[in-house]
Amino acid sequence: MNSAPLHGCRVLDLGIITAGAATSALLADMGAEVIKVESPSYRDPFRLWTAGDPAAQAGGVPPFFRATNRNKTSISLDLKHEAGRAAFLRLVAESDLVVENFRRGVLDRLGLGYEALRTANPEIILASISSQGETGPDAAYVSYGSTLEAVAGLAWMTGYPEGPPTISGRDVNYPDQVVALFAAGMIATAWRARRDGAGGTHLDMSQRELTSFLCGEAFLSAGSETASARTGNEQAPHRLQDCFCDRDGDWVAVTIDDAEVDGLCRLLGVQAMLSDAEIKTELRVWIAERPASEAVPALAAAGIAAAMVHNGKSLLGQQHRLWDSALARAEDGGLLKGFPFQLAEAPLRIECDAPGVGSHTAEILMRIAGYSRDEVAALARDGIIEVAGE
Amino acid sequence: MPSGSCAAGQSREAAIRPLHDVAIVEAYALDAPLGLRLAGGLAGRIAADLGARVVKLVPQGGDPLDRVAPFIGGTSTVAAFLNAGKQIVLEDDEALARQLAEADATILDCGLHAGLADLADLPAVVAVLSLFKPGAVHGPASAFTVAALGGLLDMVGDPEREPLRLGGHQMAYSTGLAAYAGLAAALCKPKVAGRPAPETVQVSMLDTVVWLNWKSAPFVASAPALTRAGAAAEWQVVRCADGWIALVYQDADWRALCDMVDDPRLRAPCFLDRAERLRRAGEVTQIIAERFLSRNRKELHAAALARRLPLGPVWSPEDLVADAQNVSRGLFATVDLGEGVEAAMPRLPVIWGGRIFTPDAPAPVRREAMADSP
Repeated sequence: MNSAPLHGCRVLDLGIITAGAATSALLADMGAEVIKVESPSYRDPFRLWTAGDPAAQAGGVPPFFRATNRNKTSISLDLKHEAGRAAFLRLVAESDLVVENFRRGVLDRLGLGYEALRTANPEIILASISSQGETGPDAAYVSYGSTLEAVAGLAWMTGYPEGPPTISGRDVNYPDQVVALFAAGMIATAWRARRDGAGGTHLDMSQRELTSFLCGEAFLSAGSETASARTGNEQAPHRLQDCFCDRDGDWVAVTIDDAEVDGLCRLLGVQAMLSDAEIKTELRVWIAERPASEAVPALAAAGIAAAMVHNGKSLLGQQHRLWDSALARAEDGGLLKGFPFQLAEAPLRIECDAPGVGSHTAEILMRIAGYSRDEVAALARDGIIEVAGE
Repeated sequence: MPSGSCAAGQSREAAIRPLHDVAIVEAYALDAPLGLRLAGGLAGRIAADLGARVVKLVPQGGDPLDRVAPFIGGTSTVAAFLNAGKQIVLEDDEALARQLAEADATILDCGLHAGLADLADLPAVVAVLSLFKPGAVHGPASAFTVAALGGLLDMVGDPEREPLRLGGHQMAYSTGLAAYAGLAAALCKPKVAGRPAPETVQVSMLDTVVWLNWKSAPFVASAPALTRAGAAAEWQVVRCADGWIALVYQDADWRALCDMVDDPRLRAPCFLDRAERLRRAGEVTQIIAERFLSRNRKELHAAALARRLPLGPVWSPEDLVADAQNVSRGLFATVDLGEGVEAAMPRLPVIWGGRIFTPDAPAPVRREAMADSP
């Protein structure tokens, strides 16, 4: 018996790039059947982003698309065409969830807004992930992840002391990553509630609001004298916290609490009555005189949290020692996104590689939407659907 | 206190929150790292907003979060934010055992989980929070050093300066999101004899950070390692008349951005080529910054909206509490922190079938949990 938590849940995945597609990927990891819906004339933009990968440039699946869309099947149908829309709504009638992160208005213009979906299936859950939310004066404001850091309060809080606000940038786009964690949790909750009789619903999730929520305490002190802007790496309640450059140019991150100051001063050979700024200067000099491989264990022996700052390549060296399932490998060794958590009884697994466009169009239309083989052939002939290999 | 708003005409049944039937206990070892208390606190806050009865056990000496700055009127805003909607109960062995026996699920740090004498008495669903993978051997650590190991520190800031953390408690809170997602998934399993099916959710902060920072991993083996680009980055934060604006755009936005900035130097044909713009990123940013210095954030916001440009005015928390978008969507509720202090509390960032789940004010600490949720 399949014990995956979302076993039996069918998801139509209109999610693209990271926010939507990664949300659906998490649902797939939890055991849902996730059908990625693309169109003969519209692809998930990640399919076009080769990131300079020679294999992708030669026609292979681009790495970021592959990373984010494993564990899914694929269908390609033209939602701008009446027959394509009808096929989609027949799938909606047999599904539990629709996930989308188009620009606001796109789904309604396609005639596939929540009311249309609900007409096809009163129990459907529509999960809309948007920049600013479904409503409000900024609903049409176009955003990328770092836009949202600015308009949500995170950039105001991030930066060197006395320096400008800082964003995570296009290689992180932090709000695009965290929204998948949040949205997957909300969707699972809604699916559970529906199973227990709550009915279908529309989840309106704004990435900007999530980003603000993750700065929650800042709003409680907004406008007060205690509100502070950018403090660099220092952070209450820690006594000292920063990165220090070692002898070889590598950075060492250190966090020191009150109880550890005496031990640090003994390690540095200085008096504990020095000011925090003086202790920090002494620590900077001490780390600059030795390699991180010597400094980190010495600090740890004094009970102080310390670690070398890794980059995206070197962090792989810690896999299976300090972290486990966040990244996974395909059968050919290619990197894939893994899991942000793991379940002991029903372990999350990569079951299949990311699909080619329309790899499962015919099979899905026949098995789920009840189309005959001849009807599928006619739709393909008319260019309304795309069947892989044809 | 308000227990959530609902549209006119909605039935009472429809107004029941989705986790109304779930009881969750949140508890930590005395020496649990702050980052895990914050992570579990956020997961519990989400569950409470969704209607779960969340009982958080705190040491006899008080909740360690009460000592985390910033403070307003003597109240820790971190504690107020994370404890909203929960019952806060003083912990002793008996209280812990009794609460665990009555709960459907629990959120624990790995230290407390390892120290519990009889794991058989735990609720069916257990979320165990750790800084590293279960069983990892490591020295002292903090959320900051975990961000270093996960490569995220390396991605933010100026390459000529030290790596930079994101503001607030992002590592802990994103771990809290992962914990809630895992908990929600576990609660989806079909019930066994009317009770949740057994499941243990393992949530490691370092795994969460690596998962968030996945794009920095070498997906293209031949590509150089990504790192923070600072002034060479395509996206910059620049000055404007009354603050700052994040200059975020894609290649396709370039012409619309040129129209908005309205400076002939930007219209030079060489800048139509993205690679050339990247090579001269400092010059491009300087031109735009000069033009934006005479315009304020509201003007730039309106101009960006009109041209569908993804520029981001940097709003402060104070700006955002009064912001028209947030006001129209009811993002903040005013809560009473006691002693006449009122503050803006963000609600759960989802509108659920047209309903918002208004957060409750932090509850006073009790010696015993109440029998039913408010």
